[in-house]
Amino acid sequence: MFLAPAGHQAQPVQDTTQMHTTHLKDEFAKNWAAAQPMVGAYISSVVRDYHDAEDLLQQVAVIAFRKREDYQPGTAFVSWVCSIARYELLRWQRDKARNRLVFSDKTVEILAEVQDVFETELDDRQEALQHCFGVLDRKAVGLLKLRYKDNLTPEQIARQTKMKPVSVRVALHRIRQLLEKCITDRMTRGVEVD
Amino acid sequence: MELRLTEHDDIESTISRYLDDELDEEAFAVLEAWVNQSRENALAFVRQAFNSYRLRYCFVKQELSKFTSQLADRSSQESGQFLAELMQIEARLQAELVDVTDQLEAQKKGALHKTLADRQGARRTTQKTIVIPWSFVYAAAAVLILSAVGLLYQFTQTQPGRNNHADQPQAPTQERPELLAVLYQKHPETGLTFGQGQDLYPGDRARASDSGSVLQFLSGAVVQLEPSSQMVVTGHNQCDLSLGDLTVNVPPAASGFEVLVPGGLVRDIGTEFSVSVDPSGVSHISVLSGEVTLHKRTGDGRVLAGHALIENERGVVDPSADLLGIIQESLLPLKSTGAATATGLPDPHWSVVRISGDPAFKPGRAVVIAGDAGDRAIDWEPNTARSAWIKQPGQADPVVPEGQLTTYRHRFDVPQGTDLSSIVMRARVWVDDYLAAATINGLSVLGSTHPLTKGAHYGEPAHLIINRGFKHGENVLELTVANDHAEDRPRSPSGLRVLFSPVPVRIINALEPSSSSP
Repeated sequence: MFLAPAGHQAQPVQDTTQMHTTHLKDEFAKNWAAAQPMVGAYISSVVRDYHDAEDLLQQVAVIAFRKREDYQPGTAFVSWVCSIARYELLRWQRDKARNRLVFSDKTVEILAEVQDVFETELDDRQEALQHCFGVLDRKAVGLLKLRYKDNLTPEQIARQTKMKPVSVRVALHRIRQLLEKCITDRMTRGVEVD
Repeated sequence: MELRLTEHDDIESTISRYLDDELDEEAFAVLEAWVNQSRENALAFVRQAFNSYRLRYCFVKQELSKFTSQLADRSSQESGQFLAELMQIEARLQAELVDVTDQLEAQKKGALHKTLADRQGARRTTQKTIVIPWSFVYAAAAVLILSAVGLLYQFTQTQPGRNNHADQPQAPTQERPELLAVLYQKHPETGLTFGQGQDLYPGDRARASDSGSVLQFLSGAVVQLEPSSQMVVTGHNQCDLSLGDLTVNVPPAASGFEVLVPGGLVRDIGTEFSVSVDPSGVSHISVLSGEVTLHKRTGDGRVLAGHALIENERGVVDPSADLLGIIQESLLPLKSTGAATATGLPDPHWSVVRISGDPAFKPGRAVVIAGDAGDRAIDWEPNTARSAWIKQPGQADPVVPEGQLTTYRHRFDVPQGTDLSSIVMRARVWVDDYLAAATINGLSVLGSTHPLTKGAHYGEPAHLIINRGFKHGENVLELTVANDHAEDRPRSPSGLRVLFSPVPVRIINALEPSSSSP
């Protein structure tokens, strides 16, 4: 049948409500992609367990997505999401109150306060980290992979590599020192440091 | 036991142990107090935490392939140097541990030794007794053993003919297929991806979840796979889309990424593009940015020379019709009544071709009217800039005899190559009093129950939708308006007003594939 039935109202060519919803969703995805490193770093600086931190990050993403219409375009998206993350972190801390190895509310607030400063160096730091990682040797990369990809503890790494646990800890510490020094040098002088 | 090398080393070491989740309560309290001391301390802590987080994120998301490929070709000597440094640090630590332990032991035993020495001295013993603490013996033995192990390890790593990982990059073997991509599922609500993903190897099939998936190729290409779509990973920079939709973002490093489709191949030249394969095997390709080449694939697997598609162009591959073409989007050239025409002037796009009861009537341009009935006010919806009321030519007002049928005609072109099945004409129609007929190229498109066949559609419009009867070239739309009978009025107003919605159409220009291979 090629004709609209009696009483049928033809659909408008463009559904503006649906377009607005799709636009908000796309804007959120774009903003989140840029903000995720900051928010992830903030959360993981407070929540040491990687899986807990990932769960919390996902939780923050969902809450921020549901509240996306509350975000004022043109304002700092990272600050807005970090404020959501701060509440979720404080809530998480309450749940972990029996665990003494969690930062106090005051420390969580202080860490949130310095995010504004850290955000200004984020892009340069990411680029510098990528460069400095590229000049690490294979042994160092292997240790980092065991620690960060396979999520092994220094004890577990020691068993796997036949190294002593103290050697693994010292090695990881040295690698982090080297990376930070390289990053700092590159950010301040743009000098390649091996 | 804390080894206080320097205060700076100490706090950095504490942070490192925090990142490895190895702090005890006391050390954690020290760290927290240090962080709270100043903004600079808090910032320094955040920087280390970020580095750690970012490294973990990149490892998990397989974003480090481009960096590991940039690893300098370090010689075994350098690897050995790293290990030697490690050994030196360890030896130094052990020596310091020995030193401190020895001091403690000495402190404990100092008084006893002094007493013994005094007593022995008093006896004028000729034997000199050297007191060696057992802890020193153990520590020395540990250092010796450790050094021996380290030297042995270094020796084995530098032996030729062995599998020295420091010398040679690991090549994929038949027993160990090469990792090509990682598949991440999207969160159903946010559309974001989390988690470690699923590793994909040659020949692996990737199926998108209900919320879609993202494939990160190690080449750097990123493929968004829409829900209910599936593809096969066929190469480090290639996939085969058997059904469904995907969008590809190809950075310069992954230029040349290919998507196989039924009967065709899409090759990237540094771009973002989408591919959709429907159940009948017809593929549509949209170039969002940059450029791709579109190739025909023959039944025997040959890939023919490609045709370029640039940004905003669309292509189509239909193996059943042996068609490889470019799609152009256009709008049907429909003209609403009275559009951009002043009142009282002839409408250039609408004409009156027949009037019932007047065989001598000569067809002519319809005339645009203000909508005012003349002798009495009629609730005709007022004209707008986009459409206006029209009437038959040859008389000053729109009043016509009761029962008169006035046929209005509109001609429009449908370009060759247009996908006729994609045409859906939508119009809002005002009419006094009702439509007696509507035809496209002589084909009736008005059912007897349609609202426009009833009266009273001059105050607000009714919708007319036509999706068949079109042909390539000139098309003719005719609307026949009937003037209703009124017992007390031998004549009454009659007119027509039509407002078309934009009608997008797809025009397929077939490409001529070359018989030569690329």
